[in-house]
Amino acid sequence: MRAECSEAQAAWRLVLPSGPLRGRQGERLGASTGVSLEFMDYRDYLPGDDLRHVDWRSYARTDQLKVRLFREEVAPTLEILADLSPSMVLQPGKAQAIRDLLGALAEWSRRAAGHPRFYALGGIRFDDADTVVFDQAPADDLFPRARLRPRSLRVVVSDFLFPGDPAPFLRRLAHGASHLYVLQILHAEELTPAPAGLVTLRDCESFEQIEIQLGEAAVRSYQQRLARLRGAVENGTRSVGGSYCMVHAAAPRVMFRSDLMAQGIVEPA
Amino acid sequence: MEFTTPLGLLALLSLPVVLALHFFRRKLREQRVSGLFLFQKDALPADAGRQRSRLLQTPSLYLELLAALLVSLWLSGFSVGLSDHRTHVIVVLDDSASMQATAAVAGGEQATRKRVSGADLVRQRLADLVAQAPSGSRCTLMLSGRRARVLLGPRAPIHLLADTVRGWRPGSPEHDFLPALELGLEVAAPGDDLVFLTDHAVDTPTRYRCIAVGQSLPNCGIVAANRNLAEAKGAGQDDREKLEVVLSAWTDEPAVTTRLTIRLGTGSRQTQIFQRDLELRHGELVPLALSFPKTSQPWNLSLVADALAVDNVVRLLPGRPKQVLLATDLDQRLVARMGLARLARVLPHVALVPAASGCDILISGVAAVASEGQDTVRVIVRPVGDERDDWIGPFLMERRHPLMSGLSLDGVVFSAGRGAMPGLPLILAGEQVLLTEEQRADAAPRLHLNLDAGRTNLFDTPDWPILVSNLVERVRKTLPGPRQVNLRVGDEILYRLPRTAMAQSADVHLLGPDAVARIGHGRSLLSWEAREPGEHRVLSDGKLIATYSVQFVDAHESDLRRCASFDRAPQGGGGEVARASTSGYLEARVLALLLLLCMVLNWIVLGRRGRGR
Repeated sequence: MRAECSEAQAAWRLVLPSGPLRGRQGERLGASTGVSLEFMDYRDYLPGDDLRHVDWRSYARTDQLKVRLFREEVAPTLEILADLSPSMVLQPGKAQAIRDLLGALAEWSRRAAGHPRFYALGGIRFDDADTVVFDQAPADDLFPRARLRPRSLRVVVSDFLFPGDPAPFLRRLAHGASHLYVLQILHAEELTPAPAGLVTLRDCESFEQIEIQLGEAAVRSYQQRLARLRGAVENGTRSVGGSYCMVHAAAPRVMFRSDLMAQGIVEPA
Repeated sequence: MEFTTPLGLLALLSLPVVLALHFFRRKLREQRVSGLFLFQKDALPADAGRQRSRLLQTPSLYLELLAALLVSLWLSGFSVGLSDHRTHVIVVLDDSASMQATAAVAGGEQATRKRVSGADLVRQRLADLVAQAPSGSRCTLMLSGRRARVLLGPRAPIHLLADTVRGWRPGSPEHDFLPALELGLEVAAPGDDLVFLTDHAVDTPTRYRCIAVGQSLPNCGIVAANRNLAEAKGAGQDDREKLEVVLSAWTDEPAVTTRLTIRLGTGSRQTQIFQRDLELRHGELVPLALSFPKTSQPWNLSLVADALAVDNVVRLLPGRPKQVLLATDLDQRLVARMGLARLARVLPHVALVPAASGCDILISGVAAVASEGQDTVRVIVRPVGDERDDWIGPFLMERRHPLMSGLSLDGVVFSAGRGAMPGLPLILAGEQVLLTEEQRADAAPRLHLNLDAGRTNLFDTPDWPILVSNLVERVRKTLPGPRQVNLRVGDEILYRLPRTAMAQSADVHLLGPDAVARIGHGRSLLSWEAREPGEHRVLSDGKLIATYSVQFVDAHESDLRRCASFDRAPQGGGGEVARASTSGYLEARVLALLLLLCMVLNWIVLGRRGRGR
């Protein structure tokens, strides 16, 4: 991770969901019983239970031996599902922004004693966001081919610039996850293309091309369709109880403060 | 509207070519995007399965089509007759000397009246012509003469006419105008104007407008002048030279008085040696034969100034006779038998010199002679052996040869030996050759004389001095130098180069009164045409080697009574035909301007598209 991003992400941390989490032993309260100090429930004494956990006051009142149960402390697994298609790096600014974002997510996970894992949408796991190559060919199924861990936190980082309803895909991603974060990252040129007159537009992934009079009217029409796409992604995310955020590809500080914090994805550390 | 070159309309075939280029290959600027499906709704419709781009109606397409249309119109000579009245005028000038005749301008005191010549009036008429011609008109200027020539053009800007005729000095002798007039007709296109400017009535082709600016005037002139080069011998008198001059007058009066003055010398140092007042009647030729002491100075003859000055002045240079040097190395007895010394005295400008010095004719025996130069004509008297014949005729002579001129050989007994002789036979008797001429490369010819000088009686007959005289004159013509120094306008100025100058390829040119140097034509005998009166000098590598004096003597040109003034329009309405050959210039320029504008706009449009604006 480059220095600018490292400095920027240090001021923030990922906002974890309020519900109980799953995972290995860590510092966050999990959904099961464990050895934290947080009281959770009672149960009848069984031979062999730790006598320190017997609720003696309750026994004085009821003459029944009860054992206190405490919440477990877990370290949540963060699965970062990254879109590695060429569209993610069409603009140099966007390519740098996504690498910063992936690196920051991984660092936030580590600081929370979590274990971040990177998966490519439609692909397999990868280890290093700084060196991964964005050359994933378009696939019919964007779901990662590696097995995702149940009850993990999942963060999807993509521009979602592919045709079709994203809701079924998002439901599949949210299935088995303790929470789903959807970060749709777009570059300024993708949000507001500059009028260019009579041009041939070629898709950077499918290499299809069309001829178009890219004037003001065409740009407005494009923005309307983009807004509908964004709406579909957001609605699909909320329908599975996840968190959605539109990230403008920019410098790390700007992305974290203006976009992620504004949408409640991160909070000051 | 018209098309002067309808074939140019074939260029309209470029229009479908432009369309096809736009149809089949329209390379738009390419832009990569990440979500093409979001632009799909605004894509320009494409036909399924097509291989070519849709024809896009772009400004560039329209500009290129317009440019192709403009080029087609330009090539086809499109014209709507926009204010184009330019003309092409072919002007033929009469270059004869009578155009120099001057007449007093009417009005004012006679003594102070300005005199204008025909040439001046021609210049005024041409200035009027230029002033009246529409802007952009063209002209071709020709000069009559024995060889018609073009002074300006063809189709030069008409404003150059005045400058061209400023230095014009007519001075040709009488000649036919038809070659110049026909040359003008060849150059003229339908609709062009043809004008002939002269000073008297001339039959011209019907297309010509004939303008005469002459005036009938009385005139006196020298019609012939000759300075006798032969030595005039008189007992007890110094050598003298003869002058023969003929005067005449052309006038409507019964007689006219003039004064002949003869001066000796050059420039301001001339001295008058003769003056006489003469009364000349119209058409009468008055000869004068005068005698003056022999001198090396030129004689300057002049009459009183009148209408035509060029025939009032004659300058005669002293003749420089070419002396032929005769030598022999034969024994004195034979020389006396031949009478060579007497012949040298009798024949004009012949000197008998010792054989050792350079000579032009060497009469010798067979043995080689050291003094024989390349230019020496050697007459070899061949020795006759024991076998000889005495021939009395008939003799067969090569009559066409100049050496045989005047020979008869009647009564000649030709004692000759036997045997072959080199060269071309000139005299034969039977089968025996008696005289031959051997031509040699780069050297003078040799004559071989098969003659027993002791037995023949040739030297006692008139044929011997005739033969020697023919030889002397033939050799004299080959001597280097001018052939004749006093010439007339139109004659050939001839100069023979020495053999050394020919070998060294000397730079020889003629400098005339107009100070224009002209290279001589020829290898050994150089010639120039005497175009104008006055002194002409021949220079070789900058060094003066000969001087000639050219006079104007032409009775026809001196007769100014035939001169007249008139302006005769062309017959048959020439000059008013539609000016197809000169129309369309304005349209062509407009089309070219529009084409340039199209190209600039197309460049701007394509540039903007390239910058994505």
